Amino acid sequence: MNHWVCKQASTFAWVMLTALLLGSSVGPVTAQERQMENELSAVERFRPVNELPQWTERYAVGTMTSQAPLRISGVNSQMTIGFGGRFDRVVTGATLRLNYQTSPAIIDVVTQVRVLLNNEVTGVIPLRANDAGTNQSVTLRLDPRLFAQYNELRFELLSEVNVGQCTSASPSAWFEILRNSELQLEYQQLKVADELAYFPEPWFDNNDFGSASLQFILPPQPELKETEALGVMASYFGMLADWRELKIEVLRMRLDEPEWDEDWRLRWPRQHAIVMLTNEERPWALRNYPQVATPQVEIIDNPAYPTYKLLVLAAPDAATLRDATATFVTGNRGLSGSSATINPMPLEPREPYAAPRWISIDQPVRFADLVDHPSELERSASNRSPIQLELRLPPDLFTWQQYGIPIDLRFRYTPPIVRDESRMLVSVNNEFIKGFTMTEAGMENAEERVRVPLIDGGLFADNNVQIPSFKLGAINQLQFEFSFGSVSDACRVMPLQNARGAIDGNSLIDLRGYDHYIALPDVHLFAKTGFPFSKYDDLSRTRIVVPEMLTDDIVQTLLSIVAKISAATGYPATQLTVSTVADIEPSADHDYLIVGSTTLKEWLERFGDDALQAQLQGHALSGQDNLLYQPDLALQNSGPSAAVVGFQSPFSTQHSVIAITATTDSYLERVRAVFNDASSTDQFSGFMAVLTPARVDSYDTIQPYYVGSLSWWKRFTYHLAQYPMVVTLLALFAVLILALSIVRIFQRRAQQRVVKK
Amino acid sequence: MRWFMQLREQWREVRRKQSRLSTAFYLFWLYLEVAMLNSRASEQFDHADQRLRLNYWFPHVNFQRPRWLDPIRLALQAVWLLLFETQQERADGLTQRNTDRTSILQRLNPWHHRRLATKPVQFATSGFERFFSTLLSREWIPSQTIRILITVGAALLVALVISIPMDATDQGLMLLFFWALALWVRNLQGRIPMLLMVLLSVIVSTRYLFWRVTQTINWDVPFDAALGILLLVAESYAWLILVLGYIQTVWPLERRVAQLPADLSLWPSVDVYIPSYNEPLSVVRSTVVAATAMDWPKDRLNIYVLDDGKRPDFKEFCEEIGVGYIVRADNSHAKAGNLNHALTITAGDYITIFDCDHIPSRGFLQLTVGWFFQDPKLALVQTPHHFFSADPFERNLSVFRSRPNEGELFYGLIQDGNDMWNASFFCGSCAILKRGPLEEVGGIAVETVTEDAHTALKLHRLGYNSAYLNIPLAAGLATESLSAHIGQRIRWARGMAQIFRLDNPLRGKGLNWGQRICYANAMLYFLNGIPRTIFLLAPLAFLLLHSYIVFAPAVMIAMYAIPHLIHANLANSRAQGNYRHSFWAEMYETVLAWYILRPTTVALFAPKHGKFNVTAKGGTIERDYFDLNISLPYLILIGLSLIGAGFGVYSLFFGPRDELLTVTLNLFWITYNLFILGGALAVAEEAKQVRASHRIRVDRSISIMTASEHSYAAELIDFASSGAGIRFYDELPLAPGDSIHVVMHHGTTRHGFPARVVSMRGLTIGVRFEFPDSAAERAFLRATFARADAWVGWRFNETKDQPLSSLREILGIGFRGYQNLAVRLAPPLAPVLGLINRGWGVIMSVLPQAPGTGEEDESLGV
Repeated sequence: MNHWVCKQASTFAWVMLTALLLGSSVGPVTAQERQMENELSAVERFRPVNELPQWTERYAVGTMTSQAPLRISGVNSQMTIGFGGRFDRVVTGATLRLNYQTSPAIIDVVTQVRVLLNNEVTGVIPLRANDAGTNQSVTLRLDPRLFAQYNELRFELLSEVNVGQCTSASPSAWFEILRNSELQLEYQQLKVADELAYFPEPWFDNNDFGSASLQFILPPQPELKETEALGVMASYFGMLADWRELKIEVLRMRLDEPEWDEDWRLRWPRQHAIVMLTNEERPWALRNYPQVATPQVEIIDNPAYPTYKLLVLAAPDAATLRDATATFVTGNRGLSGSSATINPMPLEPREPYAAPRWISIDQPVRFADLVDHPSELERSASNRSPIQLELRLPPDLFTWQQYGIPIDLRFRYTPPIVRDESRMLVSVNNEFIKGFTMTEAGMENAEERVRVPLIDGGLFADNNVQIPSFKLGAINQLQFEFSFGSVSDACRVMPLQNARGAIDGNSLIDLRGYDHYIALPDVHLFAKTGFPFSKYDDLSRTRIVVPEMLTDDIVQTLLSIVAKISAATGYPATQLTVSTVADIEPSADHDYLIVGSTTLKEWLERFGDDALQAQLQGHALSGQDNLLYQPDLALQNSGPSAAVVGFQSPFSTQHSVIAITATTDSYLERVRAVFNDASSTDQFSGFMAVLTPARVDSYDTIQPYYVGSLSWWKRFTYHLAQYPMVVTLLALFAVLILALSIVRIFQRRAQQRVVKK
Repeated sequence: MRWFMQLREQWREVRRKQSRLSTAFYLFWLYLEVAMLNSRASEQFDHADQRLRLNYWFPHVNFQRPRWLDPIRLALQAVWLLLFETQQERADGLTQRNTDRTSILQRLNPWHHRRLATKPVQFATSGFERFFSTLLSREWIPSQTIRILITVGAALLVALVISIPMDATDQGLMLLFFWALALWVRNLQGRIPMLLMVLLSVIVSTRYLFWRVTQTINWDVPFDAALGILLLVAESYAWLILVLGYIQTVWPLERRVAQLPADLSLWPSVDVYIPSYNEPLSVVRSTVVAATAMDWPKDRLNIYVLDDGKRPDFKEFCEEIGVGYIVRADNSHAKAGNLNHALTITAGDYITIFDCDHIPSRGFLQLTVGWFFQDPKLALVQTPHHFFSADPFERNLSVFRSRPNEGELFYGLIQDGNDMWNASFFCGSCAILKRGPLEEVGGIAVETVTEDAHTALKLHRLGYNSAYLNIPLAAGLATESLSAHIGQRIRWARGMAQIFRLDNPLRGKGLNWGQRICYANAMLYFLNGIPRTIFLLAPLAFLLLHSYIVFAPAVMIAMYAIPHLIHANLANSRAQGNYRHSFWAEMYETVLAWYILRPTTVALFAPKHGKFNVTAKGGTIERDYFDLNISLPYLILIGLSLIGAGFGVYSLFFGPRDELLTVTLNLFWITYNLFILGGALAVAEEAKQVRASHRIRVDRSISIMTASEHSYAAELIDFASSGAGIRFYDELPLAPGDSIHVVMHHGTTRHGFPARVVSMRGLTIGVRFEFPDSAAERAFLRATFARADAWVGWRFNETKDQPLSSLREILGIGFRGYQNLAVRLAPPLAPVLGLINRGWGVIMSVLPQAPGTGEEDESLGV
């Protein structure tokens, strides 16, 4: 079908390609777009393709940092914006156009803003009180030689204001950068050596803070095993991408020779790409790639655009390819050279809850293990942003009747000279938990036990929060903010320069002793943590169900979802299994992930729709019948919509089915987009989320089922405690019966006592 | 014209006693009343219907003598009467629900309308009552097995409810229901409502304890955990005592008197033992004489004074009135040894023991011995110890005969409840024992200092029964000073702890589980020294040391602990309210706590340590004094608590916001503790007590005969063993020093007792008797102390416990304690405190009062 489209409408292919290329570039801004359009003009195909491209990108300063507002002032006089640089390109020119406003309180001559790039002054902006209140603009040229892989742009305000007869640093002397200020960078692409030692660069660069993008080159009709191999590879990159947006594109290559000679080149991705080969199926451009007896991995030039690289994973057949991929993604450290052979190793299925990104529930976890670098636990007067620790908990922790998660908190700080406003504040997900006063008593190593509170227990607490009942969700930010007081004498208020505070890496968070038990279906958990599939982080207990016909949309969606799950767990889905509905052997040990509307339809036809109906009951879902049951009918009449829906597995009460479906497969693109956007998945809840072009609608779970293991007693009391009125009435009834029995017994006894003999 | 004449007549009549202004005021109110309440003026003089009088509705306003604040009193009282239901109305509502005889004021009262609206609730209530009474009257489930199964099922359900964890909201909801039920059945008659309340209390308290054990120990902080466990142990102890107490008291047996056989020859011979060691003859004398006056065949009644003091005057006295006098070579084992020695000498079938100050009534033997004929295994009949003098609590707090005294609970209820389980035990006096079983257990036990309880325990172990006859049949003197009282309790506490160690009722053979529980409770109760001290100190752990000893949010603590306290209080008030008012136990126990702490602890570890100390009785207290030695530990506790409270108040204003609720809870706790400790101080303020022989207030018609042999009717207002107070109706030509005869009617006989007038005040005279011989003295005792019905109706079973007013009373006592202390420490403060008291009095006098409680106004002299 794809082939047919290409043949019929070559103009369509042009547009597609443009879109693909645009989609794949980092931080798309209009200038680049124009440039690309030029490059893709008709002349383009005759230009030498190995020329190293140059282009310009513009970044709005407001999008480069989460800080808001972008303000510095007399007492908090520094601001740092960090951004990364990719390994395979170099900055050849840089301009910073700053739009800003200043305070009217500043004193002219003295006040200035220094701009530093990687600790070297690259510009000074003198400030005038007269300019206050209007938008000012200044353009600074930054020396491209200062750029490294990780760059810090720092603004320092030197200011004073008049206070009576003194001048003083003051919060009223402020300087605020407007969010539309731009950093314009000119890039030169570099050619990368064929060296596996750098892997995963250049396909994924850890210093690139923008979105990551992956191009897979597919055979026209991939086997399930090949799809699995792709999935394993995608999950590996998903794991690496972590919080970044990850765009996955698939391109089908024809095996035979194209009809006009440059065509194949235009359809190649114009960037680093990955291809997986078996001895039978080779894209035409790689038709001469040698047959392999043992699986091997090799880096070669992209045949169409030699500037870019192609990762070739070749194996004799699809099954070997799949195993080789799994071996490669788990053991690619220490490789070097341009190619390597892979001995597919059988991988043992992993233990449940072994996900590296989840906090261990077997032993207390050190804070040092939660950060990449110890320096992240330290703050100084000039950098007061809160220390952030990401806590990812196993999503199904049973927290009922627990008072909080204990944290043994140790922290150090420079003692303030006098007791002042210096404090250390602990927050969870921006919610304040506890504050500590920093004392002058030489408390250099305070040890405190803090408990991260759980939500229930409050008398008037809003009770609609289902489990997990944390103030925590499954993903949480634990924040520690050192706020240092300012030293002041009669005339001057000076910001402290030497104040330091650090959270000890040996602080412990202890999650031992929790059970796993949770009400499902919950698409929120799925979207955020991949639960229930992520319980086994190698997806060994997951079956992904796809239709017979694997369209690009299906494959892309599958790869995106698998990558997202691995991003949540931090482990590649090495045990991934993909099958069609027809092939499924009912298994009580597996959770099922259904991709595509026809798959769902087949599934429901084969295994019945009772579990789904049970969830749908009680919801007025007439409009969604089409979406869930009769996708074909919906095509013409209603607009597109997609859904993520969960229900109980027909094979086991302990397992789940989650289906990703859409009125048309092409609309699955919406699902991929939503999964790449954390703020959209925030709106997921209940058993189903329906995605329309306008918004995300969620449907509450009315009939939950519970998975996990809990002693029967806990389970019994937990469920009973949901009905306090029943318990109360039962108690009163029991009391009445007991009272009657006791009265009877006592009466008889009393009679025996006084009527003796 | 007629009404004018009537008015003039009334004016004159009132004018005879009052000034013009008062008369005008009085008549104005009178006619206003007539107009308002639609009553006829003439009826006013007949006391026709109380409710139609303003005095009834405004008891605290004296309409004849208006005072400055009367308008405020009138206004407040009027508003109160209109808005709230009075106690009287409530009582009326309960007794005559359907009568429509309501006054105008009642009709104006919204509660009246509310009562109409609550008809369905009343209907349900009466239905409930009927339901209960019918439930028990018939066999509702015929099969025994099914009944057992249902009961077990209900018990399991209750266990589930106790253990199920809930969040604060649900917990609060559930407990509101429980509370509502408890309040609803509170006023219903019968055993089932009481059992319901008790069961609810047990459930709520057990639930609280379960929650405490499972969820509130902070293992994170070892220090907190240690303190928390300490508090938890104390709370577990309190819970245990609570539950055992319920088992013990929920079903008093209320045994009646058993008849003796008509054939006198079957009546057994009885030895009466009156042991004495150092008491003066004046105290012992009445007892011995009264013992000889007991109604029992003379040939089978032998009275022995067992004198360990070996005093010649005792011997002389015994010979004089013809009772046995036994001394022994040594004084080993104190009282127990003394009794055992006598046991070897005498030969009666039954042994009756009276402490030397317990004057038996003449019917003692006739009323008690009957049960031995009913039950051949019966070895002991115990009767209450009754005191006609005030114990230190009663005297120092001036509540003699207006509140149930400390012993009331034990003798009125606990022993009676023990009897249900065949576990009422010997209390050393006022009891009759069968010789056979007593000898079988080796006589009175000598291993411990509470020989009485231990002897009973030994009897029970051999399968003998005991009985408790809840009728006061002997009366004696209470301990007269707090230190003596404490000394006595220390002995009991030590003795009980000794038995607990040496002959633990929970172990060993021969007892049923009811007996084990009752004995265990009697012994465990005296271990309350440590827990009580912990409770007094616990809030300091948070306020001073900032240690979270109950590791839970304050809301949860409140949600669990407050219902626990409320239900325990409601159930106890229902079960024991007639014998001990709410909150008084706190004070009794607090006073003793510190002093029994050490002896009980020592006795638990070294049970053989310690010796018998004799309770001093019959002494006098020459003047008011403050027993500093006794109160020193409490002063220290008060000091600590005050510091804690200070810190608490400070952190209320300047402390972290998130601890506000916790601080408040602890402050409430510590304030309560402070009031209780204040009560302990108030008790230590010894009131003076100068009479050597206690006077018993009575109100009996007698006549007196003067030396000139004129006879006059008079009223006996009080008597003692050697004197009496008499009031005449008219002035008599008598002077101090005159000899008279006091003539008392006793049954059909009359006795004249020669006496000498020693004092005279108006119509009241005091006389001292001059008995010519012991027969006359015996007759006097028969007519007074030893009358069969002497102590009947003495008890205040009618005073119903009102937990809230009881609390107010205790708080008042606590406050008084601090006031006394302040005056002692800084006498110049006295006028200030006097002013505060007067101000308080004024405020209290302004507050509304229940209608009909005012003094009868005698201003008219009608």
